[in-house]
Amino acid sequence: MAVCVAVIGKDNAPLYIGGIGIDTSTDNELSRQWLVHTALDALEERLVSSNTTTANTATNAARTDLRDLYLGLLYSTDTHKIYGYVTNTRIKLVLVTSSTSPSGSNIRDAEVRTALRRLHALYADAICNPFHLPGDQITSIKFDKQVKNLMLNNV
Amino acid sequence: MKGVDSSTANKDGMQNKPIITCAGDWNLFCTLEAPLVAAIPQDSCEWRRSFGRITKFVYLEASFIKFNKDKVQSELNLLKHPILHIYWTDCVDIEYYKTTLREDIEVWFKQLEKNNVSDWMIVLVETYDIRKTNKLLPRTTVLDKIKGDFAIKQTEDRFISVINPIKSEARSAESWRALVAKLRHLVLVSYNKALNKFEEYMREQREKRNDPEWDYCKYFILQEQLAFVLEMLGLYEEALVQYDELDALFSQFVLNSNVTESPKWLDTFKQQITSWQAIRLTTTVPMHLRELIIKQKASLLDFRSYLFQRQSAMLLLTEKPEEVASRCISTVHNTLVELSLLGAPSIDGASACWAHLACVETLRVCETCTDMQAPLLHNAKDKLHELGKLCGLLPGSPEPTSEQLHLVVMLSAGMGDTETNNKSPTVRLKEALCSSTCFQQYYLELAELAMGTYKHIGRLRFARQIGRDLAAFYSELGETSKAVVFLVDALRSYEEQGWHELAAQTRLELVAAAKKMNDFDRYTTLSAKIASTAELEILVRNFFFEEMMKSIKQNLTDKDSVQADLSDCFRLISSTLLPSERGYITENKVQCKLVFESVLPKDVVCTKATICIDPCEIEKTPVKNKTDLGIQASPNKSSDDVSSFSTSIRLDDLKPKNPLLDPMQITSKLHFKEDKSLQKATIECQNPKMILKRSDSTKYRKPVPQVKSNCEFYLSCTDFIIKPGLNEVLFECIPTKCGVFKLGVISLLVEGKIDFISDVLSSKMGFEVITQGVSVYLNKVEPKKDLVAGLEHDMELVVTNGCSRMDENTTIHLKASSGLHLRYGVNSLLSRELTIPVEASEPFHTTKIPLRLFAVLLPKREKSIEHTVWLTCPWLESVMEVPLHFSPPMIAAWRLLTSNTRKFVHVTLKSTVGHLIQLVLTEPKLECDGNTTVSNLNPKAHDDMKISSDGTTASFMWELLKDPLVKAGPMKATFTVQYRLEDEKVSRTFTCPIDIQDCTTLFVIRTKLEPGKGSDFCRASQVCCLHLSVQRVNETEYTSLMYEVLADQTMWAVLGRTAGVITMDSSTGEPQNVTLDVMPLMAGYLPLPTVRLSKYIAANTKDPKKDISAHPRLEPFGPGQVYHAGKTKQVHVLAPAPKEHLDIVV
Repeated sequence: MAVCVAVIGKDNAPLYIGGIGIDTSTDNELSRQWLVHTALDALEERLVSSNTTTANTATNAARTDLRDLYLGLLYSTDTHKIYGYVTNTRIKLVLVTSSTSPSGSNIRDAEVRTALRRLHALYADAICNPFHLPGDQITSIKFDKQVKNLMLNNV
Repeated sequence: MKGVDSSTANKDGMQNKPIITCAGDWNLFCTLEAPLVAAIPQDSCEWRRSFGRITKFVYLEASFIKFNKDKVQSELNLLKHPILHIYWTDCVDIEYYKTTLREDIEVWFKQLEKNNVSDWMIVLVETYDIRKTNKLLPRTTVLDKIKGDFAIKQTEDRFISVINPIKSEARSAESWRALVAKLRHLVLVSYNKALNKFEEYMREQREKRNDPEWDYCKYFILQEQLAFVLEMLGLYEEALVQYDELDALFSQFVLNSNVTESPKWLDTFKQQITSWQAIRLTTTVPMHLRELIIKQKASLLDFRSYLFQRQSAMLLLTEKPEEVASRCISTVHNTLVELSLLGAPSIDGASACWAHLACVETLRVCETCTDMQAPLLHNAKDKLHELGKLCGLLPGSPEPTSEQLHLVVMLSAGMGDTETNNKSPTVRLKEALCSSTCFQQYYLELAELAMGTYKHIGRLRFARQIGRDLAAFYSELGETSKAVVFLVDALRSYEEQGWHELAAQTRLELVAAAKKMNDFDRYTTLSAKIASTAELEILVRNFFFEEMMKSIKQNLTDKDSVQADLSDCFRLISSTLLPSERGYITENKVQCKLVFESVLPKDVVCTKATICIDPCEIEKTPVKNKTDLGIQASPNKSSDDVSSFSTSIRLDDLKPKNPLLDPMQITSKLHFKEDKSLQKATIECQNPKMILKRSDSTKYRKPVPQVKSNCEFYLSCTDFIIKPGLNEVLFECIPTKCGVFKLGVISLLVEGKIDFISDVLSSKMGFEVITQGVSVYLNKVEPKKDLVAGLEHDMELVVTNGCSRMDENTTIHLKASSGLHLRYGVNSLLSRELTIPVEASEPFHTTKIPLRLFAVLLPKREKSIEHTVWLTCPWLESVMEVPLHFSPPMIAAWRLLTSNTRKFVHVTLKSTVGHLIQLVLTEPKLECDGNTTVSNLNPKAHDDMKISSDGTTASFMWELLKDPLVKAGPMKATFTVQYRLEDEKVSRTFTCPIDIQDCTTLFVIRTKLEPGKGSDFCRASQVCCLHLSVQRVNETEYTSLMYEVLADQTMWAVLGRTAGVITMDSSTGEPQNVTLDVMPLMAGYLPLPTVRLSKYIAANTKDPKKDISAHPRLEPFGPGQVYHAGKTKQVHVLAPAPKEHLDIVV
């Protein structure tokens, strides 16, 4: 389903980037990193806009609690679609799907949402490790394995 | 194709109006048509719809046609199908109605029924008749008749009479308004019915979509009718929904075609793409494309263009241009995906052309919304780049080949004929494809605009992405300097945000640019950085390492060193100031151990490494103002500051503490219900504010690399090899100035050319340098031995250089207090003043100059002798005073001894020196003044007479031989003895003056104890008789004497007076005798009681003027004047007599 998954910290530095798929000259791990990186712009835009709307009206305060962490499609390119998700602690989860692959092109929003939620759960598990320093890069092999599985699962 | 859309569009599509047929009196209608057509759209009408859909207010228009019984359109053609049928008549004559009109209406009705039409209306146009209104009960009118004939219950309101507005405008208004309202109402009612029916049909059709015979194109045209109608009714959003449904359906088919067998109709869209005209975002319907779809000849691009234009039209009508822009992007992306999925053959670049044009056209529509422009520009730019690549228009590419030229022609043709409008995107694109200059201009324009717009809307990452593209473009164009600007900007942001791989990639691009520009400084430093980038592969790193070394050797040989950031290639681990045994003082080596990790892949030589040390300015002020009053606090403060410096630092310690690692103050609590059962268990945080406090999220920004030139002092280390991994380097320096210093910038000069400079290490690390001046000490060679006067001592003058260098021709002047002599050198003379040269020497050198010291021994009996040496040194302003403490080698004690009239002098010598010395004494001599001679009673052979300071003494004895003729008086004598230390050869003289007062024996006292009467022995407790005799032996003026018997009261009891005055006859030498009764108190050998003789001076009674007190007084005799002959005599006292004798008496 996904070709790349990234966990990005509060300060917009990558904590984890994992990718699968066949690398070609135009579509490789690095190019996907560029996608993830630029997606931050769109992601932050969403966050800012959701912040201002909540700040505007007091009645929205209740809605903030129920705010969907899933931000939906951030942007797309000819070949990829980039989805965003942000945790309450402003950890950003980014998922990249390939529109050229048969499974990626036909993906439903709900599937992406579920995948990102699962990723969130995996992330939470990974940082629950008492030896993990919050803010450090995630080097857990188990996490990597699980994320790769998550990406493949829906292929 | 030109003009096709403009001509037909007006007739169809947008210009669709509800069709209303007219039957009956056509001529009558013709007179009313114009006001009617004008009146219908003037007001809105509420449209109530079935299935609970939202009620809308709709503005209607209408077009009227003559009822044609043969040409009743199918219900399924919503557009051509008449929605309402009206029968017009102005018949007022009931008879006429009965005869002809009724029949006519009947026929009309039948025809309607035949077509199953229920939407009709019969309008009776009346002429206003003033007479009619006056009649109270009007006769049955024609309308009533018609109603009576044709109406059933639900259709009664379909009969309406209207007053002809043409003939009497004033009176008709009300009835006219009623007609128009009714008309609108009925049209909507009819539409509701028609649409419901249509939708049902449509659904039916859609359900069949999996039929092999089903055709999407047909269905599209079908559903589009609904959209048209909705559009016609002004319900653009709902029309858009129809198009969106169609869009989704199509997309789904295409996507599914990839996984399952594709339906037959999809082959239409797999046909060769021949046209990629620009989309036109107008509200008009592009009929030529619609025709193609109807004819099933539309290519995918045609279809997509059409659909997008229609969707955009709806959006534009609802004034949502930003939505157009966002849909444009997704449409373009989807279309390109679909193209590849379907595999529709086309020439290369066709899709790019189409996408580019779509984006640029969309841009023209949404000029107001900058937010959406940027992605469009971005996309347009990318597609243009793709085209440029295909057609060989990119800078740096060779001249276009003939194939590429052919492609340009093909692409231009596919874009279709252009309008004369020069600004149109199609024209621009064609121009751009024709020449590379135009292309570059266009590309740069788009790119710069895209970047600017991204920046404007705050999407800086996108802007930098375009910056990278631009950099690549400029780089190819040969304007590398422009490229570098973009790359540097991008690189900085990636580094700041911790995207190391992206930064590494950008660095690779930058290094290529630097090489192109022959910017060797940058090339070298970047190569170094790339060589140490862990994210890159080792081969790449090694390559750039070699490049760096090559560049240093080839390009930088005749240049100064280039600066680089230390953190590029090295990671500081810790730095430690090594403690110095002397402390941090000037001219003394200060050492700092630096541990760092090299991430370079291979060994490098560091030719010079320095750690800058910056003097702390603040600390200096208190030192300057030392005389001020306010210094009490300030020195303390400065010392505090100094002590707060740490001497060792690990770089990990410098990182701000991670607040997340602080333990949370959480306690668990159990809450109980009133009945003591557990209600809940909670964990509570004591001070949530602390934990939830916003932490500073601003990242530490790198300061600009420090300029090294301001570094005056530094620790340095030269020529060592830096290995990959941990390195430990010892830095050294010799401080020349006092003050407080902080460690500053670290610089590693690698291979003599790259100067890696760090940030300031830490403001906390530093040391205080103090200075140490020259010190001079005058020391004993044997420090444990006391200085002894009268003996020569080895001393040394110790000069410690401290931090300063001893110059040549430095001399120290020594001056001793009187009686103290100094000797420098073995053979020189003793003198009180000396000038000693000090040889030139390095700092911290200690010079020892041997000296000899001799304190003259004065004939005094002092136990210690104090001397002082004053040192005058050129580096000291004042004279240094060295107090010296001497003790005499020995002390002489003398006594005058008397034996009757003979006098002896007894001299005892004793050494009191603290340490052990042994002195050999020779030639003891007693010299008397005047007329006294002495006779030496000492043994003659006493060459080896020794005394030592362990307590042994030496005694000498002389008898004073006094000339009896000379009157006795005070006399002086001097005792001298030669002494030397055992191992010395020269003897020195020890002198002791002896003052003897009048010592001639004047009186001799003799005492004798006799037993009491009748006893032969002295017995205890028996009274004995003490005979005391005083005899004058020499002439004296003292005749009146007092004797006192001083008996030990434990031994003797004197009975009667113990004292008495006797008068000596001056002329005779007869002794005076006194007898006293004494009683011994104990038995044994008892010393006789001593007798003291004093001068008795009687009370002056005769001459009160004389200054003598009125009472008698005593004056003692001088020593030796009275000789007590029996002083040491003892008597044997027996125990008391036996007791029985007493018993007998009893």
